[in-house]
Order: sequence, then C-alpha cells, then structure tokens
Amino acid sequence: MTDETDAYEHYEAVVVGGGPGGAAAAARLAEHGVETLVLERGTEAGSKNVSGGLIYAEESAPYTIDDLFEGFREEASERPVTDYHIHNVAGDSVKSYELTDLHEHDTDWCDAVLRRRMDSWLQRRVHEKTSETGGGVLTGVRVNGLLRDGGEIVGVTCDELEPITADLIVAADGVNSELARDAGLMDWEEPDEWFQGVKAVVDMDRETIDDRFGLEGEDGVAHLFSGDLFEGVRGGGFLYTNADSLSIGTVFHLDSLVEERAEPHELLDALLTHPLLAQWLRDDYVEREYAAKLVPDSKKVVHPEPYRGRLVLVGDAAGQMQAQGPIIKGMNHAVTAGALAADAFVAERGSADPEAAGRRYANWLEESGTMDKLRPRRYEAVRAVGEDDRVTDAVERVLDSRLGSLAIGNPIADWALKRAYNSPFLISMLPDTRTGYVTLPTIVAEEHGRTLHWGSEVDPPSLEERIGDLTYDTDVGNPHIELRDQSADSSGDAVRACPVSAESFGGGCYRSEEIKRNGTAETVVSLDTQPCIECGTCAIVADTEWEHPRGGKGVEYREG
Amino acid sequence: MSDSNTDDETDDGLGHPTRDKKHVRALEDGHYEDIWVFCETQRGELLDVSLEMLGKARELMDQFADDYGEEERVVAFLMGDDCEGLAEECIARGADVAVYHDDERLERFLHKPYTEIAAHMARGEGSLESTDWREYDKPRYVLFPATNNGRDLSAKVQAELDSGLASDCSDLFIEENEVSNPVKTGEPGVKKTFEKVLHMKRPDFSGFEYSTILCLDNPGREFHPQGASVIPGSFEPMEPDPEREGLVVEHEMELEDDWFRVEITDADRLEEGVDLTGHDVVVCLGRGIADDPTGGMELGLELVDAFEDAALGITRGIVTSSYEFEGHVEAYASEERQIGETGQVVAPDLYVAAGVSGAVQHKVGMDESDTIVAINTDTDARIRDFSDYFVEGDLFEVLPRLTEAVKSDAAEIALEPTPDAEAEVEAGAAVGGDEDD
Amino acid sequence: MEGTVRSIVLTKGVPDFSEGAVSFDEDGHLERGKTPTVMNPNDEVALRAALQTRVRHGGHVSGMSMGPPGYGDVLREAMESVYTDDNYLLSDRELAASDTWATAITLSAGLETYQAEVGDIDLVFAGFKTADGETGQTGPQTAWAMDWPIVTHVVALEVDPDERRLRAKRLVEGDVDEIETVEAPLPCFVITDPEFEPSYRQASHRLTRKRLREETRERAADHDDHLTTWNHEDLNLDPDYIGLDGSPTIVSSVDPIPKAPSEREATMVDPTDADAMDDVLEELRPHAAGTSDHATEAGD
Repeated sequence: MTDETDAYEHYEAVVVGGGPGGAAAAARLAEHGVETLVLERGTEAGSKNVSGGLIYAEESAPYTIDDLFEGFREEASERPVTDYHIHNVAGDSVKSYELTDLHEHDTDWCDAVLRRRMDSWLQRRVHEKTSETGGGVLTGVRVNGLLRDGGEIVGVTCDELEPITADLIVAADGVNSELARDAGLMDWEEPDEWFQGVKAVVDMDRETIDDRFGLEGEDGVAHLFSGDLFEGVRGGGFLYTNADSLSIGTVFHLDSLVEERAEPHELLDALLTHPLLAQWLRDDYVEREYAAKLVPDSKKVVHPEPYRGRLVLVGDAAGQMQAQGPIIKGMNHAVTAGALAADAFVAERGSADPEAAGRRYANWLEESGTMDKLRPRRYEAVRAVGEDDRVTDAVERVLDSRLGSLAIGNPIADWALKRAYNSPFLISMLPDTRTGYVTLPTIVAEEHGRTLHWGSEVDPPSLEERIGDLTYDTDVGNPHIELRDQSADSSGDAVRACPVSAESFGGGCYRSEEIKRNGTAETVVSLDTQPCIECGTCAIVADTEWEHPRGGKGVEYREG
Repeated sequence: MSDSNTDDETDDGLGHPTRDKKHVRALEDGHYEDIWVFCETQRGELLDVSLEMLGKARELMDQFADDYGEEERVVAFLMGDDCEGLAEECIARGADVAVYHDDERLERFLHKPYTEIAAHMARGEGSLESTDWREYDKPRYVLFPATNNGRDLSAKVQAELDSGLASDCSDLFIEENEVSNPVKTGEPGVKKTFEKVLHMKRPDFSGFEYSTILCLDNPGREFHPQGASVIPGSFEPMEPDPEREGLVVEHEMELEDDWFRVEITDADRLEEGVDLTGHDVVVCLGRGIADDPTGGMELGLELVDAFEDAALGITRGIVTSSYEFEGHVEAYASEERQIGETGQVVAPDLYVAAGVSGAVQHKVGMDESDTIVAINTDTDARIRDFSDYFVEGDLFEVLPRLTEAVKSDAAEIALEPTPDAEAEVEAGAAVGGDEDD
Repeated sequence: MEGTVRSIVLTKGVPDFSEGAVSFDEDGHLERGKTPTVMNPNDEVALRAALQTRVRHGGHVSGMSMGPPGYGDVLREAMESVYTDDNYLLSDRELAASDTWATAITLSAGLETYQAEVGDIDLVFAGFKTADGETGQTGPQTAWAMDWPIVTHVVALEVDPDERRLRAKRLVEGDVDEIETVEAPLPCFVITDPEFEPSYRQASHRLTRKRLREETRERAADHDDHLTTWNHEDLNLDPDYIGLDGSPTIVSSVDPIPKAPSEREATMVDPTDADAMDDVLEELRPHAAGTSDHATEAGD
C-alpha cells in the first residue's frame, strides 16, 4: 500500500450494511476473532429495510439465522407461519388452495418479521459480538464507494468518515448496492431483471388477528393472491400475520408494471379493497406504514462470481433473492451467503492472493446448493421457450378456449392444480409470463371459485397521506437522485412506476408537467427527492444519477 | 466615593476570605451621569443596530431633559483599528460625545481587551486631557447591541463594573419606580422610590412573556451603570445630521500583551443566503403560476415592491418544478427562497399565499404568521384550513388588483387624508415625508 | 494522564417550554409549579462538545449546575442524555433568586472549589442562552470572574492537550455573518453556539463515543452515587453577596405576549365583490410602501 492509504484507519474486515446478510457475516467474522467494523447508513439497522416479511430456515442450508443469533425467533421475529394458502381471483370469484406442503418443503421453520424490529435486534447482537474483537457497528454512515490503490480495491470511502482500509470488504448494502456497481458487478439496465414490492403494515391487535384469521396459539398464517386483481400486471399479492399487525403487499415484475402503465399504490389498493380481504380487514383499517422495495430476480441476476479482489457481495447486493411464483426467499440466502463469505475469509487468512477469499466463497455458494436454489438449472432450460412471447400467446389462446377452461375446470384438474402448486419442482419451472400470474389463476377462479357476495369497507389512505405518515430526515439542498434526462420518453415511466408518485398526484417524487416553450407545449418530467422511499425503481426505469442519501438522511421506516 | 474593593476588605472578619468578595467593585455614594452607547463596528463600518441605539438614546435623553430639567449626554464609545471617522459619524447620529480607542490589534472583537478598555473608559480612567470632559464616577446607563459580540461584551463590562444587565431588550424608558424589596430598600416593610430608573423590557421565557427588568442599587453596593443590550431592529436611527456638534475624544490606555492571548487567525464572510424572516410581509407563490411561470413571478414581485418591507417566497413545488423561468426572475425560483419544513420558517404580520395548495410541509413554515391571505382557484385546496382570508380566484387576476390597491392606498394616505383613516394618515404622512428625503 | 482533558459543563434547569408540557395561568403567566423542569436545551450542545473532546482525547467530564436540590435531576439528564462522568450541584437557600452576576460569582466559586478539591480544569463548556432567562450572560460573566479566556458562539472545536491550546470556529453575527477561526490557551471557556456540530470522522472515535454513551446511560441509573452537592459554606461564599442580595437586577413586572391564533377559519372572498375584497385590502394597507413600522404602530 502507498503512504496515503497507510495513513487511513484499518480494520481487518469492513461489513457494509446491517441487514441479515451483513449481520451474519459480521457475527461469523467476530466468532472467528476478526476485527470487524459494520457500517450501516440508517439511523438504526432496519430503518432503511423492507421485505415482504417471511424469513425461512431451510433444512438444507449450511446456516440459519437462529444458528448465528440465539434467541432470534423469540426476540426478533413476529410469529411463526405454519399455514399457507393461495387465492386465485377473478372478479368476485375466488378459488383457494392450501399451499402448506410447498411452504414446508425443506423448511425447518418460517417466521413473519418486520425489519425495523428484526434488524435493530440483530444490530445490537452484532455490536456485542464485534465489540469483543475491536470493532463494532456504526449507524448513520453511508459508504459511498470503494477505496482503490493502484486499481486494487483496498477499502471503502464514506460520506461521514475518512476512508477506511480493510482486508475484507463485505458489500451487504442491499438491492441498490453502490459497492457492487462501483466494482462493475451489477447494473441497473433491464426492468425485466427486477420485481417491485409494495407493502402496507396494517395495525391490528393480537386478539383481533387470532379471531379474524381463526388462529390459536403461536402460529400464524400466510395468504397469497393472484388473478385479475391487478389489471393484467404480472405479479401477486401477500398477507402475513404479525404479532400485532398484518403485512399486506404486492410484488410485480417491473417490466410488466411499466408496460401496463400501472400505478403500484393502486394495485396495492386493489388488493386491500377486494372483498376477499374484507373478512379480515372489515371496517377498521388502520395503516401504520407504506413501504416499497426492489427485488432482484435471482434467476436472471444472481451473480455467479460475487467478488472482486477483497470485495465480496452478499444478499440482495449479489442478486441472491429467490422469487419464483409464490415462493419469496431472500433473507435466508443472505444469511447463508454472509456466513459463508466470513468463513471463506478466515479459511484464506494469510493468503497472498487478495481474491482467494472471494473465490472460495463463490465455490461454497455452489457446493452448498445455494446457487442452484437461486438460479435453478431447470428454469434455465424452460425459460428459453417459456418466456418467448409467441409461446405465451399460444398457451394463452388454449387456456382462453373452451377446451382449456374445461380442462382446468374438471375435478381432476383441480386436484392436479393443488398438487402442482405444492410441487417445488413444478414451481421452479413456472415461466414468468402472464400465464402463470394472471391467466391461469383467473381461469381457475372462474371455473372452481366461490363467489363473494359482499363488498369491502376498506378505505386505504391516499398517496399523499401515506407520504405524510412516513418519517423523513431530508438532506436539504443535497438531493441524492439527479434526473439526467427530463424528457417523457426517457423518464416518463417513473411518474407511474415510482411507488410514491402518480400521474394524478403532484406531491410525489416524479411529476409530469407541461411547459410552454416558444409557443409549443412539451411534457417534461420533474423530480423532488423529498418523498423518496429509496426503492431504486427510478434508477431502472428513468434516466437518473442514483445514490443513497447520506447517512441517517432520507426516509426512516418504523416497521419495514 | 469609596471603593469597596480593597485588599483588606476581602477578609470578612470570619477568619477566611470568601470567594465572592473579590468581585465586589461597586461604589457607595457614587456619582453617575449620561447614557453610554457601545457602537459596534464591522469591517470598518458602524452596525445598523449601533445607529438605532444612538437614535433611541437621543430620544431618551431629550425626554430626560424635559422630565428632570437636567441635560445629560449621549456618549458613544467604540474601538477598533481606525475609528475616528466613525466616532464623528456617531455625533451626526445623535451622540454628544464619542470616545474611541484605536489600536491595530483591535480590528476585530476580542473579549479581554475590549472589556478592559470599555471599563477603563466608563470609569473615566486615563489621561487628564482625555477625561476632563466628565465629572462622574461611572455612566448612569449603558447600552450594547444584542449581537453575538455585543452580548458578550455587555456581560463582561457589567461584570467588571460590578453592575447588572438586561439583555435582548426591545423597549426602554426612564421613570421612577417604587420598590418594597428589602434587599433594595435596606429595610423590610419600607418602600423606597428610585428616581430615573431605566426600565428595560425584554421577551422572556422563550418568547412567552415580556419582563421589565430594573437594575437598582443596594445600600452600600451601587449597581451602575444600569445596562441593557438591545435587539437589532428595535429602534429607529436618527437621520444623520452633519451639522450636529459634539466632542470626539481619543481614549488613551496601555494594552497589555497578555490580553491578546485569544488570537483570531482567520475570518470568512458567510455566504449570504436569502433571509425571508424578519419582514413585515411575505408573498409566497405556489404552483398556481404554472400557466405562465415567469408572468406569475413578475406579479408576485410587483406586489412585494408595493409593500414597505416584504419578501418573496416560493413553495417546494416551484423549487422542484421544471418551469422555465426567463432570466430576470430565474434567481427567485431557487431553493434559498423556499418556505416550509425543509426551507425557511417565517412568521410575518401578513402572509399572502398565491396559488399555494398548502401541503403540511408548507404549513409548518408559515402558520405562525399573524394574518394569512390565500389566493386560489381551488376551494378544496388545503391552505383554506389555515388561512384567514381565502380569495377564490386566479392569482393572475387577483395579484395585479392587490398591487394596484396597495400602491394607490399608499399614495392616497400620503396625499389625500380621509377622515376615517386619520391616525394612519398622520403617521403615514409624517414618515412619508422622511422617505422623500 | 498526559494528553487528557478535564472539562466542566455548566447546565441549568429550565421550565419545559415544549407543547403539552408548559402550563400558563388565566392571565397568560407561566405556572412554574405545573411546568416540569428540564435541562436547558442549549446545554445539550455544550455537553456534546465536551463529549467530543472526551472521545478524542480521553479525560473526564463533570456536569455542574446551580439550583434547588431538585436540579439533581437536571444533572442526571445531562449524564443520561449526553455524557458526564460525575456531577456537582451548587445548592443552597442563600443562592435563591440570583441574577446572572450573582450566579456567575457562585459558579466561579464552584469551579474554584472543584479545582481545589477534584482537579485542574482545562475547559469549561456552557450553552448559549437558557430557555427561561435567555440572557446569554452567565457564561461570559463566569469566565470574567475566573479571569480565564473565553471563546463564544463556537460552531466547531479542536483541542490540542499537549500544546494546551484550542482552535475554534465561531459565528459572528452582524450586518453580515462571519466565521472566525480563533486560537486560545487552556484553561478556557467555550460557549457553544446552537449551530455547533461535533465532528467524528474516524470510525474508532465513533465506536468510542458509542461505548461512552452506553456507559453514561448505565451510570445515570445510579445518579446519586455520582452527584456531589455543595452549599455556600462548602463554596466559601458570604450570603450577603450571593443570591438575591448579590443581584443588581430585579424583575419588576411580567406581561404575557399575545400569541398568533392557532386555529383559523378562512373568510371566503369573491374577488368580484368589492366590499369583501376591501376587507382583504384592509389587511394589506398598513404595510404599503411609504408607511413604516413606526407609522403602523402609531396607527394601532
């Protein structure tokens, strides 16, 4: 190293991000006696984090979160989920299947979680562990890039601190990882590589939840929704029971969202106000928090070699998010990856090759079977024909035909469908087309469903109210996103796809407005980052210069 | 006169000297005259508040002469590296005497030397030539500006003179006061009337209350000068009168090197931002100007100009818009004029919100204003909930009418008194005359 | 220990003026009895400055306050909410009703007693203005009573314990605002400006701060063990020269300041209705150019 980088503070390992991936890496490093500094940009771990809300412990996984953090289930999670249903919806018609077999496949346990509570609990445990080896957790610190010396990655640079050098840099900085991008390991180019999730945390006391969902004891329930609820946008919805709240959300393919010119909050509202949910939500809907997140589609973007020099990527930063049909698993894979990265570093400690740890980490991801879950070989084979538009259209035509409907409508098909939904093998082959998400469930509901004869009394808050209820610490005069191209062609999609903007709403991040220039009117897009919830959608669908806000600035999730 | 701060008196006879005695420097049976005004300078000029204090001191002492039939003087005192010209300016601005101390090391404010010099001046120490214009122990009253440096100096000078101080005053008057406090009267149950007491009114308790502070002698320990620091903008300066006669005195004193143990190594002017606070009126424009942003901005500025003391603000919606403003109004669309949660918080007497929808974030920036007038075509606009008047109309039509009315009213008031607006008319006319100069 | 810094932070208890806490009687006067006492908000800034020095250079931070015995809670708040190693309360009936000069003399006696009994002080921190008196005088007057240098309105601070000097940036307010860089020898008074921001650019400093914050919170749980109370005899003060007797100034009267209305009901105005518009213009007229503050007041 040169004199300049010699003068910087040095830690053996720097972990960027205090989510489950970063926590697992830091905990394992500390257990190995490695001096580990964890840098988290939120005011507290979890304040920047959102997930649908189920964390799995897989029987086949080398690490689970409760292996690493004793007491996790008792103290950090909401409640176990042991019951799993999917509802196919067509208008007021609904056909429901139990999915418990699928849910329990390879599952040791599964808990509903809220990220603020969970991640802040992890942060405290990680701080205890890392403090013992000369490090610790610092919050409110945004790592903004990699420190290089002669082209070699030697550390990180931060908004709030002087540069720091390290022998290992763990980028666990989430779906919009600035470090993965700095290293050239990720990009933000293709909307079809991403999902966008939008979620409402709904206030409901424990007794009411148990009563309305028919729950007894500790165990909670998960419900999934698909069909024609969502204007033909490919995706679905979910509802999980927490300790004293519900997590209700929708997840859509970003390319489909853009193509259908849909407004994410309206799709969420369509779910919330569907009569099917009226039985649970009734007339006392109180929303605690509105949130959104991008989800990498690991089938397409999981990085086969998530390392460069001393840098390793874990979790969303490496695209390690398994989202296939009704299965959404991310946090468990991040935990595995974080722990494996830490072990790999320790195994290669003292190696002259700075990349040795990264290489070993990638090998272990393969060997442990993690990569195969994230990017199944079966999917690779089917995808080639399955996602071809011509094939989709052909399948759609058959399903739409009387023959198709009859076929799916007969009792044997009903039984077969239930079986199919519960087969991890079949599910992993399901191509990401309209067929799986919309057409098939719609027909299923039409043919097999019962009709709901009641309406909904749920009146979800407006987007303005939702933004108003969120907590922000705005970095005045220092917007973290810059709109590079104001034209509607380049950036107009953001007005709709941004979860806190809408075509009809002027108070969000993105607005389109007509400006008059020399007598001609032109529609341009403008941006106000103040209401931004940092999901990253606009980085993909608009022409922006996108960064995270400085440490502690921007939105602060209370639930997550 | 007797000075109670002598070495043998620091022993109170109990066998051990107490820690408080060394600070007792007050007099008994002292002789006090005049009002002293510390005229703070910055970058070679008198601060506005220095002129305002001189104006107020002049007014107080003219009244004093009327009330008591005794002429006492307004004494400006100042220090710096080249103050003679400024001392002369103080005379033109109402002082009878201006005492100054020049030293190149005094270019910028320093606690120790400034306090030592000020106390030295106030006690009338120094060469005979520089003190023969006065025959008293200490000033009767003293005023300081309530600026960062002025407040510090006031506290220390009054400490050195062993007297009291009311800081951040916004009103001052002199009259008698009857007191029954035994500490001040010397005897419980006895009332005593103090003459020529400076009444110092100041906002207190985080702005919840006005307190009137008096600085009164104890028997045996006289607290003079009665001191106040004055909030900038509280009083009107006198128009400069170059013909005014007065005495300019250069003060002489040896400055000890040890007083310069605090060193100023650098000074940078802060970037001057736009300050929307402290104006009587704020006109704020919102996205209602969308149809013609430049035109809307011009109309807002015209209304601002029609007022005596107004500023133009904008909403966040304008800051983040893609409006194309023409060059001459573009500067007004920047973030530094934004009112609201992430901008400036204003509380003027009058707030005119034109084409402002009234987001919650905007409300927190202006809802402490005394009177709020909203102009909006949309009667559902949220600003209606926190306005006093809601003019239901297009700002492009309403603003020019307001501007015209305010302008013509001003002219009318000044030129053509009508019986029902007499009080306003007289005042307006009087000051209007000043403005014409 | 060489290179470490011993600091005192002066704090004061004030009525909690926050909404919901503060109580006024029918005449609009503050009801002291019904309004809880809290640490003066600006003192938190001073404590944070002291903590910054403690983190960077090690040493010791003591809180000091003058007030009734209940102000022990204010010092506990200082320990819990920011940081102190221990606290000193100057409390005595004889100190009641002190104005700023009497307070400054008492505090200087407290500092001298501390120097005699505990250790040599390097820095005395105080916040700018209290929320009740709002005078901003006590810090400078206490420094004057000690004859120590003082740097006021400090927005950034660096201390060099080995050279026994500090360097500060201070805010100067005038017709234009300026930032001065000032150097001063220790011991020295540092009065923080509300704009003061501690700066921790090293991860190790932040980790130390975090550890110290945890420790001070735990310590505050047993605050009585860390609190020393001194009366006028401990401080060697003569009752005739402190408290009300030693105060030049008295408060002669207090008047409530009328507050702007919090609830408004908008009068709807049709711009084509001349009479209705005249009501609006009535609000605008007093501010027209050519009138002035003075004129407006006279008109009222």
